[in-house]
Amino acid sequence: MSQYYWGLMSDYLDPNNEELLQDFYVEAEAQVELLESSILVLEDDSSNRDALDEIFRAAHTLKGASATVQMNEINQFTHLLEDVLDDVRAASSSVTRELVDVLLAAVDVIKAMLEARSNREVYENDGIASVAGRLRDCVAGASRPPTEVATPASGDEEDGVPHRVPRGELLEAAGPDAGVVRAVRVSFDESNPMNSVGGIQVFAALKEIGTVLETDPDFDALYSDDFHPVVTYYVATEAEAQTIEETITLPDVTTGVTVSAVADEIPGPEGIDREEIDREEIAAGPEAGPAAPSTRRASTPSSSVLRVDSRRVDSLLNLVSEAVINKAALNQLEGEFADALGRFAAAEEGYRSSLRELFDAMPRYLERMQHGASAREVKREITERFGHLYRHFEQPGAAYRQSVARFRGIAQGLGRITGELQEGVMRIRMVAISQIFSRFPRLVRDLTRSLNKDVALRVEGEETELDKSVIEDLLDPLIHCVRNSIDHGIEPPDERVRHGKPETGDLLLRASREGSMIVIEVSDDGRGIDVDAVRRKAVDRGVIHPDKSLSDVEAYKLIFDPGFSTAREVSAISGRGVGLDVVRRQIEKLSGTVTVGSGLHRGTTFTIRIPLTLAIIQGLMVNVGQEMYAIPITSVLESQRIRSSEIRRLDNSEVLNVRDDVVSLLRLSRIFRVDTDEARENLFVVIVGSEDKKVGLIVDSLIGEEDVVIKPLRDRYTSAPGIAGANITGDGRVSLIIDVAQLLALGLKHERDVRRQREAVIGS
Amino acid sequence: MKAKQDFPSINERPADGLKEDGTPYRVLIVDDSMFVAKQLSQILTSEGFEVAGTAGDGEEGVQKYKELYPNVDLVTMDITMPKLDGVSALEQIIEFDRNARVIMVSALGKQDLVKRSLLMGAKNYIVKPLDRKKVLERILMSLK
Repeated sequence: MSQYYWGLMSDYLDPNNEELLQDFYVEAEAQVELLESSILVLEDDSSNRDALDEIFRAAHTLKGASATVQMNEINQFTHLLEDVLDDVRAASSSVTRELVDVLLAAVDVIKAMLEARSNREVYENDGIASVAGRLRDCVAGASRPPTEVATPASGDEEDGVPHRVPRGELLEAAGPDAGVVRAVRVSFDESNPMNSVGGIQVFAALKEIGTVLETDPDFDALYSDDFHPVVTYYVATEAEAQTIEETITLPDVTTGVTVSAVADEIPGPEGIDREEIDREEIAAGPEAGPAAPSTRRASTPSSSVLRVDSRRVDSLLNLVSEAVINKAALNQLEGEFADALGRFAAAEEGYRSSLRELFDAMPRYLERMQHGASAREVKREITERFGHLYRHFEQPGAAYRQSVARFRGIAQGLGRITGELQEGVMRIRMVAISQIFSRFPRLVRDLTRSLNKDVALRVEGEETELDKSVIEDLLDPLIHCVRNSIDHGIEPPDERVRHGKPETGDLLLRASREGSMIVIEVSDDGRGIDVDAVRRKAVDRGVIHPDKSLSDVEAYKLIFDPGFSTAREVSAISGRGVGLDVVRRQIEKLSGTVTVGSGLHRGTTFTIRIPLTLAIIQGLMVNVGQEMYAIPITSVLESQRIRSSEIRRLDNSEVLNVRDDVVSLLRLSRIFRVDTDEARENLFVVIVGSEDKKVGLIVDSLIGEEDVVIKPLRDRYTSAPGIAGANITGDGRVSLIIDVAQLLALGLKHERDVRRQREAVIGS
Repeated sequence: MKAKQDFPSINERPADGLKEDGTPYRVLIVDDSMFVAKQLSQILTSEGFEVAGTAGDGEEGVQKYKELYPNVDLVTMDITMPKLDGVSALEQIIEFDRNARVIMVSALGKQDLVKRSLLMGAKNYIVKPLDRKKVLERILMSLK
């Protein structure tokens, strides 16, 4: 029975305990990040004790945690790391550049180990041994052995007769009221992972019940890191021998206790003590646990864990309770409305019967008038009897109006609450951009080292928040931009000096919020974009015609073209000219834009704009035939009401003159094959895209702006080009959300044909 | 009754975390590692203890202890922590409440600090990585 009990409960420490594992990964990730950032701080300021303490603590925490989940390779490695750090802390090693390199390499190894573990593998690589070797070299200079835990300290082997202390001396030391002096002989369990602590633990316990006069071996020896198998304490105490024994019989720590009066011959049948030593096995020593089986159960990677400020959850809870109150009010209102309806029915009933009475009375009144009653008299009579008909609905009407007013108030409240709830739930998904910005110091450092450049990174606005799903997809494009800046932008130090710039290049990473958009800038003070070089290259590649005059802005855009790189040599860092093209594609996938500004020899700035979240967008709702579509408002440039006669035809396609521009038109009805009256006179054109490439979408009518919650369409029947997802509108209808980027691609193809046509016409 | 026959193992033994009067022992967990703190609270709550509070560093730990006092029976105290380390936190707690029951939680290799803590008045220590049985054993020993 009890076995079953323990078996069940020990699951709490099962290394495959999902919940714990997930927590472990979350924490390990945080510690690794802390390690890395602190190491970089230390590199800049080798005397920074706080950073060093931080590093030490992070390594220590990792060590402990990894042992618990039985990731022995991480545990051993971090242990080694901790040793090195201990030496540095004790100032026996100094912070050199080599040391920082080794530490960073060690962090990389830990990362790789964690990564492998989260894929249920154990990381094995020659790199470990080499880094471990370098770490050991760092410790080697110090006096301490690198692994203190693995080798149990060799204790005092001669545990024979403790030297005898003259009784008088002890009593004198104890004072008059101290009670009896007893010799307490304690043997300790060597297999205890902290076996050198036992001596002091017993000392502390005895101190509680009496005065410890003397120990053998002496106190300093107990305090040292050596293990002493047997210690004799001379205690002045009033406690009974049995009490003493109970006090200091500590499982795992002591294996035997004998209490005797000091005058007695010290008893010492050593056999008794020794037999018990191996009594219990240490269950969780660092070497004891078998390696966690790596093929069991899926471990969830930590990235799905979201840590949320509890205040945010609290405010949501507040809102929910408000909504509940509102619901109660609605219920109540329902009763009121039913009530009003009943009253109306009753009033109607009375009204009807009064009318019937009136009709019945009519002939009588007529008769009386014929008999000479004056019209005035009859009218007065009728008014007297039936005048209440006017006011028949007054009372139920008033009550009804009151209910309607209350209903309006509740509806407004509900609108506000849902609005705030929406915002609140979105904010739960918001994480600070520092989560990815924090990776850059290391990245910049490594890059500058390998490129022999000198770059100082500044980070601003790292507290800016954006949606977690967006942030994850933002890292790669940002890395590309930063690499590009360091590799192509910032010049080597000598070149910088020649141009009168400081040797150290400046790289700024800045995030800020502009309304519902997040703006991220990567700017450097490097050589800037050489427009002429871009031009030459573009001509070489046949991207543009040699005679074409190229404005700066147009040249900047060219660098986002696939297969375009102005770096003379291909370097391993920024790749083969695919970088910026990829950046643009990835950012566009996030419904964002990336632009670049530059000044020759003054620097380059990449500006990335992305919406705060992808889950909810503002949409312009339009009608096409019976269907409703939502066009993301961020890509709408303008909308116009036109007459069908304003549409011009160029060859086979329709275009529209918008001021000085010609915009090609796409009929949504044709793209999505919706039946509509194409001959109608009044049409609406929604111009979407960006300033340089735009297309006009012809729709039947505009409905208005609405918040659109995107529901992705995932099954294979609905992957229609030009559709990004679906949305359910307030009245329960489904509207499709238009993917502007895809439509633009369609429209551009169109436009190219048009331009080719026009050029041919002009040429002829 | 039938249910009792079917599941005798859990119900027969009183939970360790309950005092004689049946109310739970209240424990304050001070640990900068969320992971360890969670483990400890899992172990303790499974035995009926009540986790009266958790603190992420020594400073917070001392403060929480003062807030909770006297409605706290035991403190588990990590040794290496930011802001204020466990040994100093222990010192301040003992200064505030001479009879405070504090158990140190330490990784291997911190023997000297454990010794200092024990002399300062810590009731016992637990070695990381945590072992459920030992954790309970040592905590109960300090409570009785």
